[in-house]
Amino acid sequence: MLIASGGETAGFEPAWVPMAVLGVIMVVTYLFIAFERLHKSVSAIIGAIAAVVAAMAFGLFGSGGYHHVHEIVGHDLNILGVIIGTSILVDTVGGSGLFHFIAIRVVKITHGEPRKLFLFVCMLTFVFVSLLTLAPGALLMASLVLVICKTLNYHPKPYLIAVAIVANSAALTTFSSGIATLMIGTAAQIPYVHFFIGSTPLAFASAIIAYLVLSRIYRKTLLEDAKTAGDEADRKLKVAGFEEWALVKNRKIFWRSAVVLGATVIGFATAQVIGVGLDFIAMAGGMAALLFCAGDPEKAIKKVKWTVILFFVGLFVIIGCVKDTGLLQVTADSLVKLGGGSTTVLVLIIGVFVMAASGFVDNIPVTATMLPILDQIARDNPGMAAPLYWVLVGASNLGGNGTPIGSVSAVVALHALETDRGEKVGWGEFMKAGMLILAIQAVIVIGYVLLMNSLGLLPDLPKYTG
Amino acid sequence: MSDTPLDDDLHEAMARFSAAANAEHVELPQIEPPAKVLVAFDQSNQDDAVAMLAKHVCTHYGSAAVLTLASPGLDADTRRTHLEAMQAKLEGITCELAPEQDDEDPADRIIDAKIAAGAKFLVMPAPYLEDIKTLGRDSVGSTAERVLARATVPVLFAREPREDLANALKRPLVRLHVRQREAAQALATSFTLGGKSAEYRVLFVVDAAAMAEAMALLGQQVDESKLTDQALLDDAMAAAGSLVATAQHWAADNHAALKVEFKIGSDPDVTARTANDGGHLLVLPCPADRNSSTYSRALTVLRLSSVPVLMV
Repeated sequence: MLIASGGETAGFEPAWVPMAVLGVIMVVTYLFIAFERLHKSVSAIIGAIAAVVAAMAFGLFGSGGYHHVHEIVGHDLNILGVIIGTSILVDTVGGSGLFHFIAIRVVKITHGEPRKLFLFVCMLTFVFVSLLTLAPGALLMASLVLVICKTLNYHPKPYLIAVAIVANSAALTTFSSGIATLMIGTAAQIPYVHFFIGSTPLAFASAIIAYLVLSRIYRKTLLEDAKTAGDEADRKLKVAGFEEWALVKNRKIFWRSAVVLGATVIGFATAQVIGVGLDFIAMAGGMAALLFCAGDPEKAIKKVKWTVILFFVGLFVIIGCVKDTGLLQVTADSLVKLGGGSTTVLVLIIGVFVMAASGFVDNIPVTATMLPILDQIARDNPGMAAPLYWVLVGASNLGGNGTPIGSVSAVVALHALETDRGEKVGWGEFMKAGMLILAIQAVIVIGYVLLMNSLGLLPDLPKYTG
Repeated sequence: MSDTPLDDDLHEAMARFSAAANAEHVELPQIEPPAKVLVAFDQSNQDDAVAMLAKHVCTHYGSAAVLTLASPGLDADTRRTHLEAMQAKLEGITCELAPEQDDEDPADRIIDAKIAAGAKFLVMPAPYLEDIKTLGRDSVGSTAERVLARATVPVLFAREPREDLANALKRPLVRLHVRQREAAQALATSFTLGGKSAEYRVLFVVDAAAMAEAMALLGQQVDESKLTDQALLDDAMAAAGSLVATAQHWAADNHAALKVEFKIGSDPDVTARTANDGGHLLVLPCPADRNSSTYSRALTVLRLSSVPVLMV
């Protein structure tokens, strides 16, 4: 029995027992994550411990022994660096009132007119999530919606569902807009600017679809809001009275925050050109914020989502161990066989599978599992690399739109509604809008990738094409 | 305030937006520069500090200074000699000496002199005993208290005699309460005195103990476990929106440096410590109701402060 060790998987014979054992550990962990029987970070770390024990028992780590676990985690350290750095940056810059200031300024443009407000909520969500990533962007928008709706006596549900769904489109905008996007971009070594061709158009198209469908579904509610919210002049007066300067404690810090944020965004865009990782830029941005924007290091570092970091570490270890068994290579080979060697069929299979799976399991484990599989397929079939990775980008981010637990933005927005208004959005109600949008978005994502690929316009992946 | 970290983050973000949504327009009152400033001395080690503060105020406002010596039991010549010595320290300022008075009580002398001169601003010492510093920091003397109780104009108290008092005047610290009627007056007075070049700090102190006490007096039960620092700060931030916006608008219009801070703790302790540590001019709104708890807290801050304090 020859077992591929330390990630060397070429020319191996499958060792079925380790594959089965590690495969079961991975699936059981994912089930625990999906059904939240335990906290998902705890599930991931317990799964990782079990995977390491099993891998060591089967001798999967080779001569390096346990040190291989550190290599696995080290391989994805950049993702953890980006999460930590951006979290510090967003918390510190957010403290200056910058995001709140912009949000209030934009809301004032709408004069509180419900349909216009709905459009601007979608647009603001898109911008904030693109810049700040999913969780902080969605949180900011959910809180804005609740306060504005309370002030204007509007029903917040349509706006919050819009935040939940449009946010997932925004995560596609750039390399660094979403964690799944970041993972894929890093693993496939996709140049930052390639996202503007491969992913940004999808972000805009899927957001427009979400806006159109939701504004259609909630048209009545938005019209009723306009009627029940009282006199139009009174409403305009209320919105005009919103005071964005009430959020700014120090104008110097406010402007510095804008500069630090802008510089970080430029840094993300140019990181590859100057030869550093996004984690370097994120950390540098975070530290610049602490230094120049009166950040409180204790508070900012506490605000880092350490549970998410642990979740990722656990996940990386599980997948690394499973990869060492060769199971992911077998899965890759099986997928290629299933597709009959056709890129179109594989794009369809992967697109639909990832979208469906992301709706029920967190999209991060789905993406993390798919990456080594796609890597294997792309190494064996370089021509398939670009369409498969680009469809993974779209599917992993948008798949969460189908269910109320499928994405961080939906969890945040619906939790906010329940906490503030005591109102729950049921699975049926959410899926009625979410599934319809997801279905249209699936067609657009798969159609776009296939069309661009057939026209030869999809950006190549230098990692595979040289 | 909440059950999960997500709830905390949500509460914090909502508090900020609430501050913007609920902010009401606050008009800063127009402060006319006083034509005359009454400057009261007491032959203590603070007289030089009083002269220095008075010189700054009069120069800034373009006011004339009316000098009086509040100490009782002195003959006219001694008074005149001392006041002339002090007048020399107010070089460049138009000065006049307050007419002779019959009052023996120092507080009466100051109030009567102010009325007689028609002064709209008062500079005086609040005893700061150089040799017994601990006692000094806790005492402002009965004269200062009685003058303040009857004053209808801003009173600038000199406390610890320092070389760097001029610097303090360039760095006003305005301590505000969110629902205090005199807050706008205090801000406006501070802005008028400090001008565009001063570096302003606006401080809101969230005093959980005082809040709990007030709610208990109103017969309301307080779940203290929910009074977390962050929740209290969030609520204060939401309530302070109007004043923060007013201050920032003025600062933006005048290109002045201004920062707003929220701190948790005992109001007098935190306010005085912040002012003393930063070497500021402390500006305190002083309620018209001299029996109110806010007024007695303002007096406590005055007692604990070693920096000049402007009571508005």
